[in-house]
This record gives sequence, C-alpha cells and structure tokens, in this order.
Amino acid sequence: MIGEPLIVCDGVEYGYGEAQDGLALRGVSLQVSAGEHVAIIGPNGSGKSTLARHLNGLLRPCAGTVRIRGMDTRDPAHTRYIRQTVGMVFQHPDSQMVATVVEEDVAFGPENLGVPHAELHTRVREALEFVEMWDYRDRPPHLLSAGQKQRVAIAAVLAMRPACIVLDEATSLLDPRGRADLGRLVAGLRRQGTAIVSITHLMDEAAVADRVVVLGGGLVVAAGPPRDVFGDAERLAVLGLDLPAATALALRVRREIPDFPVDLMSVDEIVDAVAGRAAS
Amino acid sequence: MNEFELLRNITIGQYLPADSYLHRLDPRAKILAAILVIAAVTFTPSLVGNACLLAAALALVRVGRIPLAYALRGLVPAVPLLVLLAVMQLLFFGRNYDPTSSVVFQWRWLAVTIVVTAAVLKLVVVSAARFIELLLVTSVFTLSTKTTELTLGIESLLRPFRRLRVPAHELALVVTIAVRFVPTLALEAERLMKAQASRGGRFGGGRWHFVTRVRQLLPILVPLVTYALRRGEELIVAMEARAYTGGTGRTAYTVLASGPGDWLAVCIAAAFLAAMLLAPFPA
Repeated sequence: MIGEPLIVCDGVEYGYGEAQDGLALRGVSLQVSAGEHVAIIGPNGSGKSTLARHLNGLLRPCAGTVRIRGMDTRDPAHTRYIRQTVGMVFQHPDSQMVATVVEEDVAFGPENLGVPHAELHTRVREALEFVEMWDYRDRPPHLLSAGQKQRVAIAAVLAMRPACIVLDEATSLLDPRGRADLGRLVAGLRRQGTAIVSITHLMDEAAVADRVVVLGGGLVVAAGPPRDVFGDAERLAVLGLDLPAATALALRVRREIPDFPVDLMSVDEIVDAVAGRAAS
Repeated sequence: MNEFELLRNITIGQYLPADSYLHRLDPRAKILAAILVIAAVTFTPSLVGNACLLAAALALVRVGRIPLAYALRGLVPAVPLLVLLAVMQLLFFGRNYDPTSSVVFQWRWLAVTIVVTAAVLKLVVVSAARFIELLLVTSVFTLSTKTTELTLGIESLLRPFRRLRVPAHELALVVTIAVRFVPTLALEAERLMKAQASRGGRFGGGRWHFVTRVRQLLPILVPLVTYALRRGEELIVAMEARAYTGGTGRTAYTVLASGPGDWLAVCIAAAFLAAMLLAPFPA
C-alpha cells in the first residue's frame, strides 16, 4: 500500500518576521509516501504547525525545498494542483466553513477547482456520505456540534479528491466521542489509500500511525515506527512529551516485572502480553 | 437568563421554511419584484395609496404562507422608533411644512408654540404606514429566501455589470461570509457576556435605558472584534488551503433556473408599480 514518495521536504528552513527571532524550522527533511500515515508530535513551539503549512504550499520555505509529486511549492503555477493533492483540516472547527449550508461548504473546494456542475453533486454526496453527514446537508454550520463540524471539514477536503490529508491538531477541541469518530474516519481513509499526516498532542493518536516524527526546536529529533520512538521513554521525557497510555502502563508494569515488554502501543497488546504471561 | 440569548433575537437572514409560491420563486425574480414593490412604497404619498400598499403587503404575507403574528412580531422592535418619529414630526414641523394647510391643533405656553396642521397629521400617518409596509415587504422577502439563494441571486443579477468592473462574485462571497458569521459572533458575544457576568459584570436593565445598555456593551465589543479578526484570519488560510484563488475558473454547485412563473411575479410587481404611479388618488 505504501508507494512512491508523495511529499518530499528537503532541508526546509522557515522564519516568521525578523531573522533574529530565530527560525521556526531549521532544516527539516521529511518524506511522506502515498497511503502512509505519519504522525508529527512535539512540544509547543517546535514547528509542527509551521511544517504542516508547508505541506500544501500555504507557507513557502526560505531555504530548502518542498515537493509534492515532484512539483516545487514555490512555483505559483502548481498552487492549485498542490492544494488539491494535499488537503488540510485545521484545529478550529468554526473558522473553516465558508458557506451558510453544509453542502454548499463541501462544494466550495471542488468549485474552486472548476469541477463541472454535474460532477459536483456526486462528489459532495460521496464525501458527505463517507463522513456520515449527508442527512445534515441543509443545516447551517452553527447548529452542528464541534465533532460534526470537523467531519464536515474532512468531507470538504475529501470532495477535492486529495492523495493526502493533513490534520493540524484537528481533534484537540473535540470531546472523546468526537475524537473516536474522527479516528474511525481516518482509519477508513487509510483503507482507501489516502495518506494521512496528523499533527497531534495526543500520543494515543500518534501510536496508530505507520511512522512518528518528533520535532523539537525546529528540527527532527526522532523518527521511526511508533514502537521505536515510544520505546525511548527517556528522550521523550527530555522533550516534555508523554507516552501513549498503553506504553506508560507497560513501563510501570516493568518496574514490578523486569522482563515485561515496553513497546506496547494499545490496550489489546497489553491484554495479549498479560494473557501470554498468565498462560506460560 | 433571557438577556444572554442573543441568537434568538437575530432576525437578519432568518428563513422560515414553508411551501409557498414566494418560497419557490427564483431569487433573481424575487429581488427584482421586491425592488419594484419598494419603489411603489417610496413614490406613493397619498393616504388611499398607502392603504392599498398596506393591503398589498399583507397580501404578500398571506401568499408567502407566513403566520401573520410572526410577521407582525418583526415590527415590535421598530415601535419605539415609529413613536419617536411621530412625536418629532408633530412637535417640530408646525407651519413650516405646507403653510397653506389648515390648523388642527394649537397650543401655546410662554414662548413655546406647538402647531399641528392637517398636512402634518397626514404626513405622520403616511410615514408610519410606509415604514410598516417596508418592514413587512422586506421581512416577507427574507423569511421566504434562503441566504444561499439570496447571494446567488445577487451574483447572477450583477454578472452583466462585470464589464463595468463590478466584482459580482466577490460581493456575493462577502455577503455569504457575513451571514455565515452572524450566529458564530452572536454565540461568542453570549459567551463573553456570561464570562463577564460570572466575574460580577452587570447586564440587562430597562428596555429604555439605552445609554446604560450601550455602556454595558463596550467591554464586550473589544474582545469580540479581536475574536472576529482572528477567526477571519483563520478563515482566509482555510479558504486558501481549499484552493480558493478568486472568482475566475470557478464552477457553481447550485445553478438557478427560472421559469415563466418567476417572470410573471416581476410583471405583476411592475404592473403594480405602474398602477400606483398612475392611479388618480386624492392628494
């Protein structure tokens, strides 16, 4: 399922405002392949959101390059295609909706791409059905819950048929239920072969990714499969980052039982490990 | 906590779903017809003419299948203004307005003289009637038109003027976003008021204490504007992320289609305007 590189960041540097304020990104290199799920974690101010905004050309690097399917984001001729290829869902559900009705809002992206009228309706319907919001198509956005708004925001991106969706802390303002709904949607998207880049504060969300990239001070400080990254608890503690709940539990069990495995990412894995020990 | 519920009192762009001829009307035809009817209200100075207009406005409420009580409730906030207008006209016009008119009422106290002539009385009645007619017509219009229809209608009607550099699409987008954010900002204002009330801020007070009420709103206004600017900035980024690059090359999700029934409404409105202008109403 994981194919050719979709996004290639090479030595990306970026600074806001005056140069002496320091750079938000100090040479980040990163690849996202088609169909891959990459989680980007890091403390506040580590450059996560700045990096996310480079992935579809909202920001352009001061040095280094970002290529989407080989196209440089600095070339304005590619902007429309790049934004179609990499969609973004933001943190605040209220400020992503343009139209006064759900279906019109979902249509906004494909309208911008110049999709013919007949196809617009099939796209809007497919996208809204995927996020289970078709029944709400004629509602005004302020009558939706935060979780429903984020689902509409995902539908709005899906209607553009992107190859990759960047979730910029899209779950941080949701309640646990809204978060779980969004998690199921992301899993469904991955089965369809859409690549996901999720910027998150929640380690349990990062634990389900194919790969975790840890940012600190504008640099990539660790990267690899979640098992490897979260296996190094001391380094994460230095950065002020938590562990996924399951990994933290496994570490505490290890204090009592020295040979208990610590590279556990989910409740199911803990249950299996405990059951395995009980059986032996 | 009635004074906190701002959302309920906002009637701008409120839509009352119903299945009526007016609800089904093409928004472009409806906008044109509304302009014609409003022109009729503006150009009719006679009492009899305004009686006809009032009847026509009430007929529109009926055709739109809008409950009469609901339509009249929209007039309630305008009552203080109407009273104020009438009092001003009665007090200050005196003989300055149409001096040939006969005096109906005269009252003198020291250096103050209040004179009410027949012409002023007529003016008071006609201006109140006009005000009510305008409010009824516009509220029938907004109650029977969805905001998306309204903005599409505006865009479509302005499109021929694009050659004169009228930014039709941009104007329609501005209207859409403004309407879209009215409830969002109302909810935020509600939140701010509750937050300040929980820290001892006082809101409410009498209906007539305008000054107190305005002063109470100041501490809300500043954070609300900040909030609006921040949301606006985020919205721009979100729109750009969804490949918005201006009006060129866009397609439309909803396409307006008008039939002969729609243009009939414009013809009726035009005929009505002509009749009001040409009818020999007694002056």
